[in-house]
Amino acid sequence: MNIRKIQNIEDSIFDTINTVLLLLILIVVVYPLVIIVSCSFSDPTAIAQGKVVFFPIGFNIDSYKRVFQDARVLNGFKNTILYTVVGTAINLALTIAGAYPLSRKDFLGKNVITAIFVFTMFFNGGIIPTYLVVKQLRLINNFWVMILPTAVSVWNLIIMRTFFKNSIPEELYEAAGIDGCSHFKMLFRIVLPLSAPIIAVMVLFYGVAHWNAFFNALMYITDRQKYPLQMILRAILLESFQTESMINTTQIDQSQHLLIAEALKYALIIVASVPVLILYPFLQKYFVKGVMIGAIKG
Amino acid sequence: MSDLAYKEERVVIKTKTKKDFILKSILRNWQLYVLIAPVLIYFILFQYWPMYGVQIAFKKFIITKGIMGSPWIGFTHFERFFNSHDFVRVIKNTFSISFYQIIVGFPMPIVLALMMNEIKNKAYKSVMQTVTYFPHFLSLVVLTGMVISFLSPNSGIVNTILKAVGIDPIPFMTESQWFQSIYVLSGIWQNTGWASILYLAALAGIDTALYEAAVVDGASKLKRILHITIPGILPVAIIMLILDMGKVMNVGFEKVFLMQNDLVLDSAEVISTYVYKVGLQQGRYDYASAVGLFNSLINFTMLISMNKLSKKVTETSLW
Amino acid sequence: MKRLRLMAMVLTVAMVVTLMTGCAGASKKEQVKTATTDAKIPEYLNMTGMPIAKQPITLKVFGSGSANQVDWNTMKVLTQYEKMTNMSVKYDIIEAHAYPEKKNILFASRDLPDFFLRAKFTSADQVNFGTQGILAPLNELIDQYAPNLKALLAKYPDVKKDITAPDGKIYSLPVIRPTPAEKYGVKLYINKTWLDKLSIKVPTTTEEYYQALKAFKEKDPNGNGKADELGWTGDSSVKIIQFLHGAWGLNNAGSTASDIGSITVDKDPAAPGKLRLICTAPYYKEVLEYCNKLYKEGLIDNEVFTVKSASVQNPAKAKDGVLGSFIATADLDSITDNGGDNFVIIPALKGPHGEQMYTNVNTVGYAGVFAISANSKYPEAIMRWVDYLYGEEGSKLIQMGIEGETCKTMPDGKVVYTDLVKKNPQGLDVGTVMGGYTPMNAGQMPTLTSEKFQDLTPEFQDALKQLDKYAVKEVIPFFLHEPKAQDSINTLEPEIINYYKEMRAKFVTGKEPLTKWDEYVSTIKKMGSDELVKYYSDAYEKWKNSK
Repeated sequence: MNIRKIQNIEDSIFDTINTVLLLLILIVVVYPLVIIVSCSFSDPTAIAQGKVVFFPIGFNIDSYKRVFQDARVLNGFKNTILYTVVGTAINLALTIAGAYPLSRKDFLGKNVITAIFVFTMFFNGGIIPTYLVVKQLRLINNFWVMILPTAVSVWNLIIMRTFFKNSIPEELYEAAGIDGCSHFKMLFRIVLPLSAPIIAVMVLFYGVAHWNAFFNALMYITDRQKYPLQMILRAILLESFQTESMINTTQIDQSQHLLIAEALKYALIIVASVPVLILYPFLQKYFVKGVMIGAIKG
Repeated sequence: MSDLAYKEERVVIKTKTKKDFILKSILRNWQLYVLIAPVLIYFILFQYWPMYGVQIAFKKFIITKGIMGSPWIGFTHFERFFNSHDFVRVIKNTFSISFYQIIVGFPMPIVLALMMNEIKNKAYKSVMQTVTYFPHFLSLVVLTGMVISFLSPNSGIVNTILKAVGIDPIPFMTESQWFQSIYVLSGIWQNTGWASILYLAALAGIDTALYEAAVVDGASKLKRILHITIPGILPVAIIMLILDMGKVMNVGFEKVFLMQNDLVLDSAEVISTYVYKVGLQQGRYDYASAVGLFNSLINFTMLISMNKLSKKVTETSLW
Repeated sequence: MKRLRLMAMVLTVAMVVTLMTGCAGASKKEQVKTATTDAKIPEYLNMTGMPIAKQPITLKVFGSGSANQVDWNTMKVLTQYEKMTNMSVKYDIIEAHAYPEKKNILFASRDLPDFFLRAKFTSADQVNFGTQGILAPLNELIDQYAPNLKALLAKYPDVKKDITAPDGKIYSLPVIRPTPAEKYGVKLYINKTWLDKLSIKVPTTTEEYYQALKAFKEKDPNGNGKADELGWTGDSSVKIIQFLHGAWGLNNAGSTASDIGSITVDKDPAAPGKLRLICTAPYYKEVLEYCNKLYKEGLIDNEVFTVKSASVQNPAKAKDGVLGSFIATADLDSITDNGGDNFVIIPALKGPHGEQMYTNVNTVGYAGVFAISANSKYPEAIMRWVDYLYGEEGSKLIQMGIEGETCKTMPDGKVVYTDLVKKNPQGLDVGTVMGGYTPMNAGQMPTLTSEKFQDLTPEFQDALKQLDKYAVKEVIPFFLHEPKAQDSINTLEPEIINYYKEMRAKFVTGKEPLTKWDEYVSTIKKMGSDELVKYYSDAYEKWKNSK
């Protein structure tokens, strides 16, 4: 039992160091976040003075009130939820449809196709030609313009392919092949159930990408009704950076406005990120150690 | 069918004409082609169709004439870039920041994932994960604002601590030598948690039977990590590294632009910010496109090299 | 083809009208009667009065929006104007922060509207798009259909010069802002309460200014026992440096813009009639030396380079009671409300060579806010539409809103905001309330501004009078260069400006010693500054000689 004892001591030391380090990391990460939350409840001038170091100063919920009273924000929420749900579903479908064939050893042409995909990560036509294509496809100001042009991410595709290759042993395919299993069946009966973790990750990655998306809206949408949340947030955030009007056609002091925007920033961040934070624990249960492999093997 | 007979049959198939082989393979796997077809269509429509726009890098873009009708000027844009006053500086800074980021930033999410994986308490684990990836959602505007505020010589918390231990306050944001570290470290703070998610998923894919066997053999936690876990997620890590190397020229515009100021440009001016100031602000898409093409070529070269290297050293590669 | 026919008609009409100019006269009222040429007027148009179009017509407009505006299609002033004119306008608004990219994309994809509002066309845009045939030349249209504007261009000939391209055509219209309040840009303020406490008089020379800031730093005027007083503070644009140009005779031809894309030249006192590059002028070195001295002694707040927006920081500092001197453009409410300290303006400082100029003087016309597409079907109606906004009623409508609702006319003729705007029941600020009515809440609309609409505090008016004394008289505009010249400028100028700005920061903070001055000048010369100055000089010649 000597080995066990050493093992236990070694493990205990390891665990202690691990816990301490993680605690430090927690503090380093959490502290700035605490400040952000506090700022969202603080008085704008105090924020500008840099006085908020931990607790809110001049506690108020004005910033939140402004956020929720702003009809644009609520509309943006609605739009973004729609874009995210539909978009992620399509992303998943296409990414799986692309990753599975590429993960199969005997898929002829997989290297060529992979190269075709990877090439687009480096070379693309640029904003103007892409705009023209989108225009010709009649997607300007169309709901689908937030979904189709970004339907597949090569990055995610490659990651998923890597997962399929690694987690699904070849024997499984061979066993299924003998049973006369078609590719479609293999995909749905074997691969997907075993891929819960990576699918969860993809839902998170694609979902968050949609949640934060604004570039397509910037380029292709002028109908304010269709704006996603981030467009509106950026507009409000970037106000403080617009160089002061070069001409003073009004004597209106912009300071008041900018000061409010300063505090609004923080409330907007919180409001925009909370939904995603809530999503994560639900997905987390899929990050479970390979329970399925054993079961299917049997 | 015995093993040997099976292998013999395969040899026989191989010696027939290649065309036959290809045809048979396609027919056998027709479903795979059907699956991947819509993906290909996406790429053709949204990625390859617009690619004719790449020629703008070799043209003088006149809006009314469109991309096709604008006149060719060959490599003029490239020459202008290579001869510009800042060329050496921006290339140096771009590479420097990228490699700094990869060397310091690449291992961190892996380490964090490994650490979090060892947490027994489910609730604590969940909280840790959620907290560490939350910074990913902060807008860069807020992030840079916080960084500047924390590092302020008069009121920033970092300098307050330094003063308490008797060190003079350091004006971090206005000294060139600090910029790249601040840029990279704040990026690590913001993105490590998020990047670790991928590795956590990879960890979930490792066969638990391997761990059980190792415990029986008396391996400590550390040994288990070194011999089972790390090899288990190595393929994913390598792919990520290759992909990262393929982005060296892409030091993003927004964060650098928000963090830099006129005093630190010696280490803070990168290709993207430079092109913005001398090109994009006047709408010179042709010039910006040429620089972008140059970047892409370098990126692509790096990627291919890394991929080749990886193929030789490990079994993992992009293709 | 229809457009050609219309243009031909317009030209014919224009010719006939010019023959009859003897009767035109300087009428104070808006509408000029053009009696005999009805036969050539487009069918759909009413030549005078409202509505403009006999039958309803629909037009499309691009505009650059601002964050505190509602969708223009719902703005009350615009909807009212639609009914008045019988012209239904569909507004496509591009958010300000996306505007530069969007603008170019839309032009590249030929997605063009009938006309542009708040167009933010740079001088390069005006010439390029004009000469490439995307924008309609407006000269004849103004002559025939825009009596208000025509009168204004006659009254302010400089404005006409500023908006005329080298080929003699006008491609874009300006906002005409002849009021004193809009003439002057950045203003320097100093803490009067502290000056009084230390018995120092308001500085009039650069030496006095230095001494005053030094006293602020050393003598604890806010009386709290801590040396927390700031000298001059602001943000990373460090506007004090540009302000001080006037004390050394630099920017003697005005500086009509903020730092980015600013005017880089002024009149060369050593070569009358010629221009020179400011950032290599000999006295500029002295400006840098002076600022360096201030920075070294902490009289310029050493943290300014990391501050993004002074408008946000300064009120906070005022509240802390540490604000000594700063630069602001608009009225000071946010600062005085917060700090309790009194601030006065320093109109201009006298430098060691006796120069005392206030240089941030704007031109009367700010161009590029409006343009008509070359392929619009209704250029005449559009010109009438915009001309109304240059007239008395139209400018009131677009700037002050609806009589009785957002504004009311006082017996003395002034037009003021109602309580709905000034003391909004929902607590919204003036800009946001007006943003529900008109795009003019963010400026840059084709109209004529007027003192009647301004509600200035007596202090502000007094400050403006002080500035009058020192303001430079001749102001050069953003020139409209020949396309080829503009191309070269686009290549040379950004690099020079970038380098100049970076070196300015380094010289002032001492990161580069001023012994490197000669090296700096020769680097700029190597970047092609001589060629740049020549282009500007050419444009200046043309501009002086045009009518």
